[in-house]
Amino acid sequence: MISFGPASDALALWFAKQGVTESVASWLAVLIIVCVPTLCIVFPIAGIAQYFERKIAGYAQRRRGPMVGADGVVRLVIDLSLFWQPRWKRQKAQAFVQGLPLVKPLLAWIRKWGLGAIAADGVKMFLKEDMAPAGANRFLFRAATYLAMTGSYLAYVVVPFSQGFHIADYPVGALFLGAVTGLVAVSILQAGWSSNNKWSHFGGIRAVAMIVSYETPIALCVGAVVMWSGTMSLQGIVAAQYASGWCSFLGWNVFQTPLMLLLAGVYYIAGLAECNRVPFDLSEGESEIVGGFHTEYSGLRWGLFFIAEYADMMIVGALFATMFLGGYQSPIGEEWIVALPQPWEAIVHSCIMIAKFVGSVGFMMWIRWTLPRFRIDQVMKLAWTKLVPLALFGLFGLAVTQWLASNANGVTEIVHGRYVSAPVVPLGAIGVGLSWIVFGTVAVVLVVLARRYGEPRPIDPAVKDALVGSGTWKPVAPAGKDGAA
Amino acid sequence: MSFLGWVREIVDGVDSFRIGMGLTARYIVENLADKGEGAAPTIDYPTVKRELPDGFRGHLFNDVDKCTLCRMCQRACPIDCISMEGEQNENNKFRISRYDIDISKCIYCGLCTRACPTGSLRMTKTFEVDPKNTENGRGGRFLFRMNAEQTRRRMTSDEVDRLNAITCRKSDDLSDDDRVFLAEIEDHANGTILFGRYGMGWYVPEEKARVDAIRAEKKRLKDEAAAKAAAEAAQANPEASA
Repeated sequence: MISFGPASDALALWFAKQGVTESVASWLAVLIIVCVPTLCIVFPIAGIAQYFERKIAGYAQRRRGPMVGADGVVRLVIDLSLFWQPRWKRQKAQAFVQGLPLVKPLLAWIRKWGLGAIAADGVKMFLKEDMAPAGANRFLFRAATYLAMTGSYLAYVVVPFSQGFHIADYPVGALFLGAVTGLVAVSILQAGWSSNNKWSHFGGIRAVAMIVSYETPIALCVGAVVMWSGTMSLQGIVAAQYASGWCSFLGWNVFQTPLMLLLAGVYYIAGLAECNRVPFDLSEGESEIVGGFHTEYSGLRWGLFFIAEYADMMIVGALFATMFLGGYQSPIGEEWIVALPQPWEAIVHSCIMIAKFVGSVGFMMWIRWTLPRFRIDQVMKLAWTKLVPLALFGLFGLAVTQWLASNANGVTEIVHGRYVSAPVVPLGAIGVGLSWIVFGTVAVVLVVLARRYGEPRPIDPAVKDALVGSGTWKPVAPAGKDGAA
Repeated sequence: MSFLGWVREIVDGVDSFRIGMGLTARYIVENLADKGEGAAPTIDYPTVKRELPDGFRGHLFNDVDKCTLCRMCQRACPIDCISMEGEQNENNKFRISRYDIDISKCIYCGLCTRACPTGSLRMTKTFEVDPKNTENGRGGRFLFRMNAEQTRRRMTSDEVDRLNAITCRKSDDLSDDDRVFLAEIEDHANGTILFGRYGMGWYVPEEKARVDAIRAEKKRLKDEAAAKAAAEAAQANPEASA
């Protein structure tokens, strides 16, 4: 008999009373307990995220974005419920309902923000036919969707939302994350191969090549953070970023040294590639490989890939927040939150955590609607010639810094399974200041020198003539005048 | 590539990234505030309507009171979509009895309005012909609404629905019921209604006579049917009647 908490036990008991075998009843109960929250929480969240994505897209491109209202729903319901009436009577009824005091502003509000799009997209996704192409390996084809979901959602197991508020806090949480997110690459390759479609195959291969390449800088960044915090447990990493007082944001890893800032940047860029987001969305492309690995998927199966993509984004955002932005800790002092009674402490912490990773997901959307996409060779070049050296530099620089500041970070105390105290800023205020001054000076000098003496990348003269001639492209202004052009 | 060249590439990349992100951020903010360069030029069309420029070539409208039946528009029309009929009144003045524009042919070139010597034919700023247009809470054809203005009579929504349906047909296809109905409308109208392909215009006198004949015939049939029904009822229940 398996169990998933008291609710599933009660449900299993009820099933058993109906005459279901005990083992089947417990499985059924667990299935329901798992599926209902998934359907009720995950799908709406994906719908809302997708709505915001499209809205941001619209606003960034001088459009309005989704504009679907709910007036059609009102009209449809009245048309169906008064179907025997003549048309003008139905229209009168519709006009009456649409003009009711509470309904009218609500409908106007929905219309203004296009909120009907969320429901409309969801309904569309559910109603489409579930198809598998002829000649596809049906088992693998179908299994790929579940694998993608599994990989994306298992990662949430180790995300800490508050002190002691997590599904699991493995001592090797960071390693677990790397292992689990690897499943996504497998699922994408599997989807691409089993579709029996050359575009899908290309998309799958591209995605996997990209994910495998970008795992390297990600691993280096995570390794550096793990080294800095002295623990692989994500709760431990968060606790290591604790700083007392009202300026607790100074304890966050990004503010520790400029090297951490660099690593955060590298991690974020690599994370974008890891979840196949623009500008690294090489695994799909209407003009070259159609939908990429999910070309042949339709309806809800495509939806699962879609949701998995958003789940991946959120995981990258959550990890970014955990490793560099102090996790669930507030930027303006931790003590007052810890002093709150239990449910409130967890709620406040969770809200802070969610705000942080939703913020980084929003930044990903903003990036998506700003940057054009790379070519596959440029993507690979960026990973191996820019991000990996930078991440290595950050890793070794951090190691040296930590060695110099011999008072390495303290060990987190664990009392009754909760992290109650954490070290102060590992380097101490003076160390932090010094590291910013030293590395900041080096960075500024490097930038100035590079702008003055560095050779910009040569551009194909034909391409340059074409672009400059049409006035769509201007070279970055040379140093000294105005770097921002 | 030198080391500084490598750094330069990164610096250039960060610079252009910053510029691009700044641009979209500005657009997002301006769009949300709905002012400035980034504001979306989109308008909520059915509720908010754009101000049309002068000289906009919308639907044609003929003011029948001014029209002298000179047929200049008919000659100017490059695709012959205008047809008209008229009659002389007791003062030997021409009065138009039918003015038809086949809107399925019309290319909205506006040549007819330039040819019109009295200025009775002009192009309006209306352009909507959506039969599902639910202005006033009911569907309606623009062409018929224009016609209704000319009849100077306010119609019930039932009548409007029915006329909308009828005006799509040619006059030969109309049923007797429809003709009676149209005659009733015509009683209140400042003229008569005639139906072309997309229907509008004015009755010709023959049409009126035909309608009167049909109306009389229908009345006779109805009376006969009523008498027959009464007779049958009397036969079925002699006791009740007795």
